[in-house]
Amino acid sequence: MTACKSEGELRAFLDAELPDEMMMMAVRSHLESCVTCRRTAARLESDSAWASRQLAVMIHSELEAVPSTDRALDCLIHRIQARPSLKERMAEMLGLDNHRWRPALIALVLLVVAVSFTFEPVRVAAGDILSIFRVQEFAVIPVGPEQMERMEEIGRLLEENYFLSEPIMVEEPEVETIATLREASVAAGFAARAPEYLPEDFAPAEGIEVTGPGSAQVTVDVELARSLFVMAGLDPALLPDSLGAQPLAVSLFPMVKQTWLYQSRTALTFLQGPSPVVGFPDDVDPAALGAAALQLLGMSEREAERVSKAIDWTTTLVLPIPTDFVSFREVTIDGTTGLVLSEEYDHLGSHSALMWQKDGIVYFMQGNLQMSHLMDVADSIR
Amino acid sequence: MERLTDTPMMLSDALLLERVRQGDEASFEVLFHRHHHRVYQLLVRLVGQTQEAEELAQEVFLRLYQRPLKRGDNVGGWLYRVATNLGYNALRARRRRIRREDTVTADTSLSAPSAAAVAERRAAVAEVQDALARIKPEQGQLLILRQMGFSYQELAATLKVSPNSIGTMLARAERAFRNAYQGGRL
Repeated sequence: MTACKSEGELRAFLDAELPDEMMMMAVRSHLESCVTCRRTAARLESDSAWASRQLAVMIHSELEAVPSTDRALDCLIHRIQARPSLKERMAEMLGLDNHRWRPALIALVLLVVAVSFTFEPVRVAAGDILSIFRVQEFAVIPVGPEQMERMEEIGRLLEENYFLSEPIMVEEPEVETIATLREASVAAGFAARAPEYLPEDFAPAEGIEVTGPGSAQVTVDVELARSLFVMAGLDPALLPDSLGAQPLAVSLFPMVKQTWLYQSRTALTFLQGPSPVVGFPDDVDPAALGAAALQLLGMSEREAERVSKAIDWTTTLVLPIPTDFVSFREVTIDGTTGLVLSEEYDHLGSHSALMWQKDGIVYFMQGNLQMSHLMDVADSIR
Repeated sequence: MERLTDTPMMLSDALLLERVRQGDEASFEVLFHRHHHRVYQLLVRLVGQTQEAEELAQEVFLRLYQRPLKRGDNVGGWLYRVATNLGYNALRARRRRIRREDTVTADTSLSAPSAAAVAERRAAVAEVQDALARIKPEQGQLLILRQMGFSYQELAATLKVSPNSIGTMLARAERAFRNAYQGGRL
């Protein structure tokens, strides 16, 4: 009797999908003499028929009617023409003026922070993580007007050649609206805080938003990312194969968001949550990647290396800030060092953002306030 | 006279993709016509609703339009992968919603026997979707594409694996699906 057949061979045999007739005959002949393989084949056939029957439930006459492809194409073209740009979408998300690119850029910076808030550990499934990123401080890389165009170019390049796959939500975090801070703390699993002082006429929005834990997977297209590096004149070898070897698992962790309104419009938001943690394979050199990012922002190779060495990339969230219209400075807040950014609009008032980390919790506050007023609010947090 | 080989309809996906990368919208439309039907079929089997499947299919092609693939990429494989991801996200979002609401809305416009049949069918579909949502997306994709009539060769090209491994993958996916379904009914 010939050797027993693998499950895969038997399954392919049942579908008459073995590569050639010789192999089909060999399996057929083996099955005639082998009880074990016959039993396996019977089980596989039963599983297959069962799966097919269940999936057939999904299809009925209404669903089988395929929509007109021409009509679907017309709809798509309409959507393409009507779709706002990335900048417009981001500006819209943050309630900023759609027609001004500068607020949109600030939005980008704020978005980086906001996204960082929602992503806890990014782990490589293989478990070969040696390096961990955890925010303990914030740093600013000033970007001058000349580098702005380059940032815009990078933005366009990324938009056209997105090297991260769409995240697959394994477990989407649930968002709950909760009445009191105490209940929000229980739901989030940490002691959430709130400011005692608020500017006159600021009223709390109804309920506190608690985003629960969740998880997602995202895959890095290393080849595409490398080609972007080449286009930007950087060394593609900075990105090791391991970065794209398998999906990165992203854990989303609890976050508490409080909002205050002024004349029925959002005027102040305060986010808090455990410090984000990002794990990456041990053959990724964060300092070298950081230096590459600095070069992308227009620094010379030597300058980028010098600055990169001064930054601890495993504990610092680095924010590129366009200094010609955003002022920033380090401040002492909540007994620790934080970073405050502020922008004065011509006709829309002020917009400021403040971020700091304390006892493993990262805090982010932003509002339509002058820097000093936002500091007053932050100073009153208990 | 126009040569047949120059018309987009006659070109391979790879050549069309190359033209799309150069901004040729006619080639994008040919790719759309060529793949939309199957992308929709995959999605409608996952989400079980025509309107949602249509919208998700649009989203899949919108992404292709906005981020043309690299030279040499398998267009079909990419489209089915993105469709599976979007379908799974929609499926899981709905499961959570249903869990939260924990109610079934009765369709009062139907006569009693018809309403009962509809409710029964909905429950059966929900059970299958629940089981699909609990297995790996790649396994759900494999089962659905196979049910749509994809050959092992086509499955291998779509999933970027060797045709020899499809048998094993199918056997595992079918077992996982059955276990998830029966586990969900306990």
